[in-house]
Amino acid sequence: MAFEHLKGQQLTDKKGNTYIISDIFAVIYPGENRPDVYEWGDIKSVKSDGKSLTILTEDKTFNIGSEAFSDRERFTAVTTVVLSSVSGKAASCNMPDSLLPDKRLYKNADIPQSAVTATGGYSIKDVKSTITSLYFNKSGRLLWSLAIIGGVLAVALFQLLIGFTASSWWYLTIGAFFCAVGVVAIASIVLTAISKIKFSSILQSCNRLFDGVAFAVCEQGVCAVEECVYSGAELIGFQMDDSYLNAPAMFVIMRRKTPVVWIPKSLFTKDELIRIEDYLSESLSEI
Amino acid sequence: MSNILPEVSAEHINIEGADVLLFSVKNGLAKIGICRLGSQRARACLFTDEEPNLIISGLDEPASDLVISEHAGAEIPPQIAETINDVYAKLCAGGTPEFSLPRLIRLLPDGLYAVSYGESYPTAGENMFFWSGYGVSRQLKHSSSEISVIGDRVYNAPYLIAMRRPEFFEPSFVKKAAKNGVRSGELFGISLHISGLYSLLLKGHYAACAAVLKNKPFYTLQIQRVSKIWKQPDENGRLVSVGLKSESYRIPFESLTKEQIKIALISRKYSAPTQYDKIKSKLDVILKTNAKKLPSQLNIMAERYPDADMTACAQGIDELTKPMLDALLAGQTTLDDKVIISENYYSSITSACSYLRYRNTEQFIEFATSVMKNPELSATYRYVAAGLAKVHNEKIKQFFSQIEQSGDAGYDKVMPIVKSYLENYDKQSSFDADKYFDSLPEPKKEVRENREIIPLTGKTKQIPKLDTEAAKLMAAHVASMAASK
Repeated sequence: MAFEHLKGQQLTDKKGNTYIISDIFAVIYPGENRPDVYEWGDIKSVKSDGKSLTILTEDKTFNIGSEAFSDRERFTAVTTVVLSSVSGKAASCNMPDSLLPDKRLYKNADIPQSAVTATGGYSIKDVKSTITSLYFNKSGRLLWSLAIIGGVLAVALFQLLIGFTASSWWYLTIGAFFCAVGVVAIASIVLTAISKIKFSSILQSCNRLFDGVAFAVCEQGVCAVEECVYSGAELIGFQMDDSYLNAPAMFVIMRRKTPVVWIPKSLFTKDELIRIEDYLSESLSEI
Repeated sequence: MSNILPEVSAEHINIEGADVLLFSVKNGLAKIGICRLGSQRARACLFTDEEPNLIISGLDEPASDLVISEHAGAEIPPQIAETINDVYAKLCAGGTPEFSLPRLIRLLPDGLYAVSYGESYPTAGENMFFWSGYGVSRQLKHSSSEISVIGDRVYNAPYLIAMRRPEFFEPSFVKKAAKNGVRSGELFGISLHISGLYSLLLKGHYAACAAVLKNKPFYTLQIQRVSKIWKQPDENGRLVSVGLKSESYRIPFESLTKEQIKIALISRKYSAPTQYDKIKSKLDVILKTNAKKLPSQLNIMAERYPDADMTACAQGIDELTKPMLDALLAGQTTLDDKVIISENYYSSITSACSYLRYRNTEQFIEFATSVMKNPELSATYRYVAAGLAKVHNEKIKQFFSQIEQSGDAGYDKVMPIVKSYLENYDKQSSFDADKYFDSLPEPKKEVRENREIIPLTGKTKQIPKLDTEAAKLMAAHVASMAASK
């Protein structure tokens, strides 16, 4: 279990129920001495809207409202303990999308001295441009295909309606080319809109991650967590099917074609960026 | 250092008529604890402040025995050693555990700790003196938190792991400990439970030597963390939590205060000390240590203690009646539709041997020789012969002589054990522990405990020594008072 350095957390909601989130999950009701104690393996699901937490057991649902968390750090610590505790267990998790990776992916591993580390945050501008790069990188083949299909359809249409002759072929060809460009332009607008909708929740999370994020990249893996829960003993290890994108503003580590870790380049020096790229290229394939 | 002062409270609670001393620790200093070694998930380290004392493998597997090794070169930091010595001295002077132990208990991580006083066997589960194996990586039998032969019962953890390096062994301290390391006339030490049948001896290594050589029982004041959830089936047969448990205790929630429950539940299994990096860096450095060994006489005398199999079976098996033993010898694992020990026949025979060796030597010899006379049970010969070889008895000598002379090929596997037993039979009885103990050097003169200050007036005045830990705590307390103003 990762994040074992975090202390167990005690929360009290407005009804006076005390929740203990530690190696176990326990609820102590007001006036009662006998707590309900659950092992994390007994938890069915964990849900959060970013402010409160809902924990579902076989027969009970516990809603821990936002008032139980004194501050953002507390909420982060609690969710980190919960997610690391249910990691590898049957519980389903429904957490708000975030630029930071799912805490369930972390394993205990000492981050070596050779790791490149930094603290800071994300800028919306960098994230937006990286999302665009990511999306266009993903849909490059699709755009090329659309361009070819658009061009071929335009040529066919021109042939049917006007007909290619010795005098008209050159402007019809230019027309077909612009049709292809038009199709690509429209597709790009649509794709950009889709990407914005798809990544809107991630972009929103950017607002609370403009500072206070700890990053570490080494040969074994990568870490990007809120500074308040960082210990230097947790990593997301690189796997066989991982890859990375070297976008102008960020490195994005992908797992099964889904972005997992976003590393802003602006936090690192030129030398550090070279070392990061070395670490990534040694273990992962570039997309 | 944090300005928050540790809070330690002691309370006697009654569990089914038995009195249990329970300490609760809040804001504990976590100077003694177990942390996981990050990059190797299965390994953990017991540390004292910045010193990695014990490397433990297998803590995450509840049914597997642990592999431990003391970290060569690790020292108990002076301020912690000083605290432990002071606590021990208080207990030797007759101080009660609830008033003497808090100074030590506050060095532990947050949690609930039960303290027991009982007999310990100064071996590491086999028949070697516990201190002799220091630094050697070894698997400790029945050190898993779930011991199959004991099942869900509570049990005592009598075996010890050494905390001090043997290279500093000073023979004269044995006689000193025989005189001073006593409480109500009994030689004793302080131990911290690790897992299964094992605990780490924090203090009392020389008292244990004295107990072994003088053939006296050795007691330990054992500190055991109570943190596991005790579950029992409710009226619908569903498992519900009813209290907290450890290896030796079952404490229903009703016997605890809300605060105690919260402290126990909120504390995490592993500590992650702030000094983790320093501990880790020291792990990578293996200091060259003196190859000095403990006197072999200690190992010879330690052979008389029950081994881990015997203790586990004695605590896990209720009874073995004559009909049960006869059924086992007849190749059955059940009697009157009830499983005698286990459904596994080999396991039943070996457990029965261990149980009888602990409870009744004569019955054990009779049963074991019967097993070894039955060719159908040849799979158990080696285990049974090894058990017999640990008992110094004329009947066994005769039985082994018969085996040696028989030339039966069925006994080929056990022949080295038989020959070794017969060869060493007379040597064992010739060792005189009392004579050896008397030959040990007398203790040297006491080292002055107090610093002497010579004031300008010329008159000498002694002030009691303030240990580092107490000084830090006092400084933190003064700082917090100043801050609150």
